[in-house]
Amino acid sequence: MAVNKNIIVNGVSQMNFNGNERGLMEVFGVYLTSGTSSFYNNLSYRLIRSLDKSLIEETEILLVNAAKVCGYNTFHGIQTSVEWEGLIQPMVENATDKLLASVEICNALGWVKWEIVDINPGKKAVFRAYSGYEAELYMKEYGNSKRPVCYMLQGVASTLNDLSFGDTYPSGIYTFDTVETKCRAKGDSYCEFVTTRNE
Amino acid sequence: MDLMLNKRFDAKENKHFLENMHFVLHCHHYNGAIHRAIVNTPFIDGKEFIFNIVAEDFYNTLGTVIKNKNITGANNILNACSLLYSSLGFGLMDFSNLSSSGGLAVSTSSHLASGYLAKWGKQKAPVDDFGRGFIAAAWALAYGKDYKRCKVTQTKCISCEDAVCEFKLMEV
Repeated sequence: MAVNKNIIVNGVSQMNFNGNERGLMEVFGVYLTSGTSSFYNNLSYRLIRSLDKSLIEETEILLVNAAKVCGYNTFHGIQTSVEWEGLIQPMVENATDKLLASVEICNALGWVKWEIVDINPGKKAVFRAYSGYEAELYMKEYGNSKRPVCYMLQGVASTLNDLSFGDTYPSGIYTFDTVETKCRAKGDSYCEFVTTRNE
Repeated sequence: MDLMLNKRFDAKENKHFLENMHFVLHCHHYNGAIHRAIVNTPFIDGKEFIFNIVAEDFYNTLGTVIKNKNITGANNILNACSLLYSSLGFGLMDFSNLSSSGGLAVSTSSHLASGYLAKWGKQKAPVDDFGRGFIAAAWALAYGKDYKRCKVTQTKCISCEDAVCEFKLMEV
């Protein structure tokens, strides 16, 4: 059975994302919050813009790493959850299916509309995003950027490959790295992420 | 009180909307990691940086909900803010000891503080800057104040193994 994008996106996006009696949203083995896209973007971009230019690259690495830590732990939680077991596991026959299904979870969480356009399993994957809150709101707030700005998606692209093709959790993190080769904030028509295994 | 929030998922763009505002779901790993990264960034006061962004964002978000739902009166507005806070997964916030001149807010459950405790163990100092910013925004909306003209100090924190997160608000 192939990975069915619609079943995953419809199933996950329609879940009850509400805080419980403790005001916490316990889903997929992690605690979620629902925050505005502008909140997360302001944290990242105002931080970058408040710093001396010499610190920008280092700060970008920090922001990407926050997303790697998030993506790796969150998607491990997702992939070992009862929700995954019931809805998604029956579609997953191999590591590539696991990656493709996880991409659809990202789509359902409201982060992005992306797909994998090229894959050499375990070595390289190319993601393409046609929407995504980072680039969109960056452009709205600041106009075009000289640098790619989708830090969260860069981190998550790496960790989805880590969890599909890397060593068993938790030692597989940082197996893959991602470069955002195109970004809508730079004027490209889509954002593109090339993920490769670290040698 | 039930806020009866208008929620929808736009399957064409893969976006969640609440009262027509775009929301994204993130977990305690991301929220904790990005908070910690900013707090540890040199040359800025990371905690105040986060406080200001949270206060501004919640002021806009809560303000939109209150306007859309036609909620009036300080107590009703504070109740609505608390409900929205818990509905969004940030925790519980009790405003019963808060007035127009300031006072206390108490959180018996905190997403950020519990996340810190779970990920990094007992903390030496309070961490819930999301809660601080939220309190400033709710207070400003309830009493017609400027959220930039208050100081919110966290005096207890679940991440420090206190039973609750406690916040003191002063108008400045």
